[in-house]
Amino acid sequence: MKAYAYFPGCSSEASARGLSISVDAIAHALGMELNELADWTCCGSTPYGSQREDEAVLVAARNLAIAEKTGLDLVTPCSNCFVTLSTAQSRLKEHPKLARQVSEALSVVGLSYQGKVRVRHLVEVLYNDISPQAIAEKAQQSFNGLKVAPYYGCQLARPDFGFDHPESPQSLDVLVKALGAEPVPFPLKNRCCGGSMIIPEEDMALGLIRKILDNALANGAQCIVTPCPLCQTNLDAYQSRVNGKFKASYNMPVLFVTQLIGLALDVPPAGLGINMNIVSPARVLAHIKTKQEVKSGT
Amino acid sequence: MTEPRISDSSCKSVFLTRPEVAGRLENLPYGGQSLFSRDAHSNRSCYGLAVYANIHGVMSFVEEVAATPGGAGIRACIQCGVCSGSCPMADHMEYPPRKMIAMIRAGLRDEVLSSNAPWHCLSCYMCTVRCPRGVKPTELAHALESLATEHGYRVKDTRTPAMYRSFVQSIRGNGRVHEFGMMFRYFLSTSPMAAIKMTPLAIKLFLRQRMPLVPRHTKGKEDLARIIARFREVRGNP
Ligand code: SF4
Ligand code: SF4
Repeated sequence: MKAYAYFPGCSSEASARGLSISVDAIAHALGMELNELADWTCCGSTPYGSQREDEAVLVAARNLAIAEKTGLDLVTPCSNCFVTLSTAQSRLKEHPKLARQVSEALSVVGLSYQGKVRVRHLVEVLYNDISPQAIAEKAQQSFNGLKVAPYYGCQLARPDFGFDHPESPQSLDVLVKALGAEPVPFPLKNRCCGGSMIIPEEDMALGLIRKILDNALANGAQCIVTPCPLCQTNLDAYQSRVNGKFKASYNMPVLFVTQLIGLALDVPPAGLGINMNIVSPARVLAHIKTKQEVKSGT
Repeated sequence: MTEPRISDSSCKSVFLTRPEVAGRLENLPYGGQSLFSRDAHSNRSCYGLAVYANIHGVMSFVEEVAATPGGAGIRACIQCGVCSGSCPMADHMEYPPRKMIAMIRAGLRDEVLSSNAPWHCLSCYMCTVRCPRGVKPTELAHALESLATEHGYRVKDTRTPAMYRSFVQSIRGNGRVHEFGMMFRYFLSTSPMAAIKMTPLAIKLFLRQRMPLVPRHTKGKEDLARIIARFREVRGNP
């Protein structure tokens, strides 16, 4: 059992509850002890930076300082939190004056930050610490050739903090394959889904979402799998609005990769928040077989 | 002496209408006339404005941007256009990233800070990954948004600033983003009609427990407020 400090991110309490529920459900079985950061607050977020660029670093630093006290790596399943927390860390390193002012502000509540925390994305931990092979060994169920479009989104492998190739990442493909599914070629695998632009500029974002759905479908995918809370909400919840706007009829289930892993580990769907998905994932569930069945060809 | 920040798109007019500047220019070779030559002004890179700024001790716009964390890389840009060519939002931006950088160097402060371009950046980092000079146009967009907010610019043709404001109010109020509260406030402040259009989707999310109506209380929120208050004091920026 390896221990980590855990930062769920704000969306874990609302639109992306399926992500946090499924992370909780698989962590133990995979040998991860996730210790939720005490009283965490917003990661610092892109919108915060648009109002006060420097203060966003401070907001991030509060979480980093709390994590530092634990002495553990800080893991987040949210791709945006991952980039924001990592960016704040580089800012603090590159701007000593800002770092001093941040320290002084943190000291008001008895916190300090030395810059020692290692911020990590959950997918990277699954890939490097746990390993696809170990996940495959623990899996009792197989997706038996289910065609999956692995959708990384734009934040996971970019910018400098990513652990995978920034334009042609492979980690999610490998993880999906370890579960007995077949990753399809997916050229738009890390194109942006529109992110939070879906709220103020919905028409623009719907166009981006449509391209991604279209690309997955054209490559024969039966479902999309992603680690990112924003991507999942945009592709899943807004799919009907894409259909409305473009007179299309997409019916593409969009699962969190942690939900897929959970199913392979034989966790019941409700324990993974799969009932919270908007586009029905029934066709994904129907594809599951026990490894025994797959082996004997039944 | 309080000088306005340089933003006039026609630097010749700036120079010639200001006797105090014209007087200083006389000491330059050719009476400063070369500053207004066609060459010096190609691409409006405005050597003239830089000199003007120097004489008056006013920070030029490019210096102002370069002094922000996100704008630090701007001087390295070689105007190759890879960023704009890679940007999924280029068609929806008044000025795509390469042009924006040219404009900053030309000192077009008002035009840049009131444009929708930084606000339509998705932070997808495609430009940042591909830029051959390490400029980080993504972070530049964040810096420009922050400057535009700080100096009270009204940004045309985008609802994003209003949405970001609601988002940040939610963080300051709850310590975390409360999605329902954030969206409610945003739609109320912009277009209640759009809220009605959103209702079916909101209901779907609510029924699947993906849209709690009440924020969860976190003790961190009080600590965060104290930290922020102290930070503003220390930076002298209330
Ligand atoms: S890609 Fe980089 S160097 Fe090229 S125009 Fe854009 S910012 Fe400048
Ligand atoms: S980060 Fe912004 S500017 Fe850069 S490519 Fe993406 S949307 Fe365009």
